[in-house]
Amino acid sequence: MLRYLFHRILQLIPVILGVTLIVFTLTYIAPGDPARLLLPQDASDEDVAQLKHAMGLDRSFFVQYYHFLFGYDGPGDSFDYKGLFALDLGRSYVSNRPVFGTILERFPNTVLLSTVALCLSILVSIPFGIISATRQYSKIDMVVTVLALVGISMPAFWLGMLLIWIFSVQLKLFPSLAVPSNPLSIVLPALTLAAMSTAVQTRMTRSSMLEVLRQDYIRTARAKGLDERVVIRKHALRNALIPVVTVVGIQVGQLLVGAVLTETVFSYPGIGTIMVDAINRKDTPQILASVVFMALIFALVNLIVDILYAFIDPRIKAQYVQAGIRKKRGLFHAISRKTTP
Amino acid sequence: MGKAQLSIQNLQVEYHTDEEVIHAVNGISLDLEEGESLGLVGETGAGKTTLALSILGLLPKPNGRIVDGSIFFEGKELSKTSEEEMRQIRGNRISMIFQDPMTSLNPIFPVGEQIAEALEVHFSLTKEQAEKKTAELLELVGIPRNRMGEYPHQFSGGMKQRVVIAMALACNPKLLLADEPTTALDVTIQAQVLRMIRDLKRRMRTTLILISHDLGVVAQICNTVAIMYAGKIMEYGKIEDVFRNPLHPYTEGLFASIPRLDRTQRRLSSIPGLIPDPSNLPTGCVFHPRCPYRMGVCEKTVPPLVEWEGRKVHCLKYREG
Ligand SMILES: Nc1ncnc2c1ncn2[C@@H]1O[C@H](COP(=O)(O)OP(=O)(O)O)[C@@H](O)[C@H]1O
Ligand SMILES: [Mg+2]
Repeated sequence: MLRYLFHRILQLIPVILGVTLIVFTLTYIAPGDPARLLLPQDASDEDVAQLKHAMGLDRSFFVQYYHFLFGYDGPGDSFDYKGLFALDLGRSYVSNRPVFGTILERFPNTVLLSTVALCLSILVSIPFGIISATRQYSKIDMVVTVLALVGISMPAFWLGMLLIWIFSVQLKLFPSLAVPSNPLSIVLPALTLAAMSTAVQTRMTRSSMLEVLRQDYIRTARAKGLDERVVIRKHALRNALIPVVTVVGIQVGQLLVGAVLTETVFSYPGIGTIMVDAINRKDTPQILASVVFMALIFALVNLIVDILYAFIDPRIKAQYVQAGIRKKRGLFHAISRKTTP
Repeated sequence: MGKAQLSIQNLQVEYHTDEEVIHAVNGISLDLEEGESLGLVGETGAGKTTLALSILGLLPKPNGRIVDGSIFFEGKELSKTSEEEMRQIRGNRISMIFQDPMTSLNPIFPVGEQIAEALEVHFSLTKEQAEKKTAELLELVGIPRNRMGEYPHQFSGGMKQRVVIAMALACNPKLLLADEPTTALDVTIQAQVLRMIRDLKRRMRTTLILISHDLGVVAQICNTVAIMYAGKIMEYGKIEDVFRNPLHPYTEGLFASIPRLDRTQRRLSSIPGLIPDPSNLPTGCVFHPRCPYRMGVCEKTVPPLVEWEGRKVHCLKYREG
């Protein structure tokens, strides 16, 4: 298992590098000149050229990418940084604060919002998915199916604005600006963010559950004389959740993406607003740092999901657990204890 | 019903799908004495599994339903029994071994736990007692007890079927329904598993319905045999009688299709034609389109049940008096 983990973490390196190359290229070819944006409107071309030189932006693409990875030491000191491998991408052109510092400061806010949304979506989607599947074609099932469809097709920014209009403007129940310190203000962005994931997970739970309920081993469980509730909860649910866990894992990534939009709609101070502000102002170090950071989080989440998967499904665990650590099997199932003659 | 332990009368089961109604079982009557072992033989699609599931009350919902007839078990009419009471019967008084051991076990629970579960539903046992009984059951079917913590994917097909058998026998059922218990297994393993079922049946004195499409398998274990075709019983009698002198043209066809040299591979295939579409059954005798002795009346008249030489046969060739 440890070896597997190590392996997976090693695999992350090329992925992250690939992401950086793509993002770096995109910011490189994007229109707009950060040096000009930093200087007053009436600055001379000479001043701009000089600043560009100080920032290292007059060098070739590859040299700049090399700087990005391994650090930059320019003519002055204000644009120096130690590079991605030292986790230092310099300072924001706009606020002049270390880019990773700002991210780490605001990231907990995004985590808070996403966590609330994730919990909300899990708490709603799994029970409704199950009810929907066990009463296929009933009225409840129809309602759930239609709502899920609506949830999937509604863009986050539109839903966000709709919620603001109803609950802030008309009913004046919740503020339209969200701040982490005010739990009430998080309700609307969390709902907005949760909508899509809830819909996706509900559909997944429903179809996965329907699939499992058709399996022979469910019939076997019934043939033992088990109560239908036990059949559903014990035999069907855990099997049905195996694919749902993957979907939830993917949704965590989607939540981070959705957070960018939702935070913007509610002006919530998370990593999403950092990113959007940075893009608007062509604050290259901040853009690069945010995207690399998000990619890293995304990859880590996927890794965690894969590991969780192994805990739910013994067949997958068997692939990880080497013969040498067989004894651990008993850990998960008390029945196998003390039974060797 | 007399003393019969299981008595099925004129059972009719249909599956309703969006497009059609499938007549899976069409008026089957059977009586089983306690301790008897009946072989139920017929081609795939004859309705054998459906019949077994009807007895257990486990027809797939919502499209499978009993439309007529009754099933009495130990004097109790099962189709009128509450779900709660049926649950007490399932796995306890009547249990079933399913066709495909590969898919009959839940992949995420250790096999021991799945056997223990059957015990725990019906008996109030402590964890230790259940564990002890599970270990005994596993050894009964020839699996070392220290493997009870392992998961189904760690067992071969034959071993899984043994686990399924242990599970079915856990509560000493009065009636065991074995639905093609060896079809999915290798030929060598088939013989082992069959022998095991026979020995266990003798030891536990359960009544057995052994479903198979293989006459050879049935001959090894059963006293009586019912030949099923398109949801009906064509011929029903003592196994020696049926083997010695098959009365029904379908049974005759079945025997003709057995390659004499190979005693284990008795497949039912060489009768010309196909089994009828169960959503659109032939009129009269369901077998008439394939019958070499077909007469004009066969297309119009449903053959009644005739007692003939101590056997029951549905064929217009045999007329009383
Ligand atoms: N769940 C179901 N829905 C619709 N038709 C079914 C279902 N199960 C079985 N059938 C049909 O009922 C007929 C009898 O099937 P079955 O009892 O499985 O036969 P056997 O076990 O003898 O092969 C077949 O034509 C089969 O296609
Ligand atoms: Mg079958």
